Amino acid sequence: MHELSIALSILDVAEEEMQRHPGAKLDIINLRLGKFSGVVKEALASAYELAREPSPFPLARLVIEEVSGNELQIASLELEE
Amino acid sequence: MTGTPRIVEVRKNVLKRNDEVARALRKRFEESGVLVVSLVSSPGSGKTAFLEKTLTLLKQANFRPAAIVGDLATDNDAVRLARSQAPVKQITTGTLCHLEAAMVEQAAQEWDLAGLDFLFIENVGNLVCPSAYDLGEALRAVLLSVTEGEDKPLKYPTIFNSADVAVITKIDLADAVEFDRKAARANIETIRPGLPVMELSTKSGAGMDEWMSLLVSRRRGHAAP
Repeated sequence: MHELSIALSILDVAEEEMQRHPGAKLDIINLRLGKFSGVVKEALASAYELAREPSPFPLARLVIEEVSGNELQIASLELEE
Repeated sequence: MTGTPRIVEVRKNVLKRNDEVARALRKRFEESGVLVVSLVSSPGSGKTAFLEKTLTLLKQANFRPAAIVGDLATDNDAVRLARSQAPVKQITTGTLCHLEAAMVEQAAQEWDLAGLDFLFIENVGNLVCPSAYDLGEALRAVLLSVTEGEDKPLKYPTIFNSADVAVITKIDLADAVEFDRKAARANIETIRPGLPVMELSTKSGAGMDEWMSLLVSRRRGHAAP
């Protein structure tokens, strides 16, 4: 059950990225999740719900695209400037 | 007022922080000439007994091994491993199901790595979570005991996929539990074609020679010229 650590890492990477866009509002985090990444989509989705609440982006949605391989990558962020 | 929507490409690994720490560790390990081997398996596969035997044999052959062991609770494993006279450090992870590179970095901090030939990292007994975390190791061994059944590789493909060698343990019990070696090897081959597979028994010592040769030859290939 390491999905919570994964969710926190996702928010960390997003936070780092958002520092380059001061004043912007983060709407969506697009994640590419590999079938062999060892991360379960459903578990990650619920862990993310918990993790985002105390984060700087309590309203940002996580959109998970399942792919083959062992990728675990933030593909893009959708934001409003 | 609504802002202008915009999509920003990121393409960053979620575990990039762990990967960065692992990369730095790997470099340090390589520069020190220490071969770092991590062991992953489900609980009860005989990891600690296997590691104790490995440390003892390496000590007898005048190598300088050390070990870092991860467990949710207790330092029982470290106490067991210390019997081999090799330096051992315990990481107690609490509720965390895997080791991360930063934990290894901290555990290895006080050791003079150049004074070691081998460093083993025994991960928390778990076949799921450890697969995603690079620990800076040069070799990842996944253990599978004959009592677990031949289809473990099919059930946990991710960890078998991330390993460099598969070790089938408790082979002395194979007949008693009607373990089908061929099926187990075929299942491993399905998940990870070409993955080297070893069969051994910590208790009888069968197959330990092959494991020792692998370690020694990998270290030779690894050490700086």
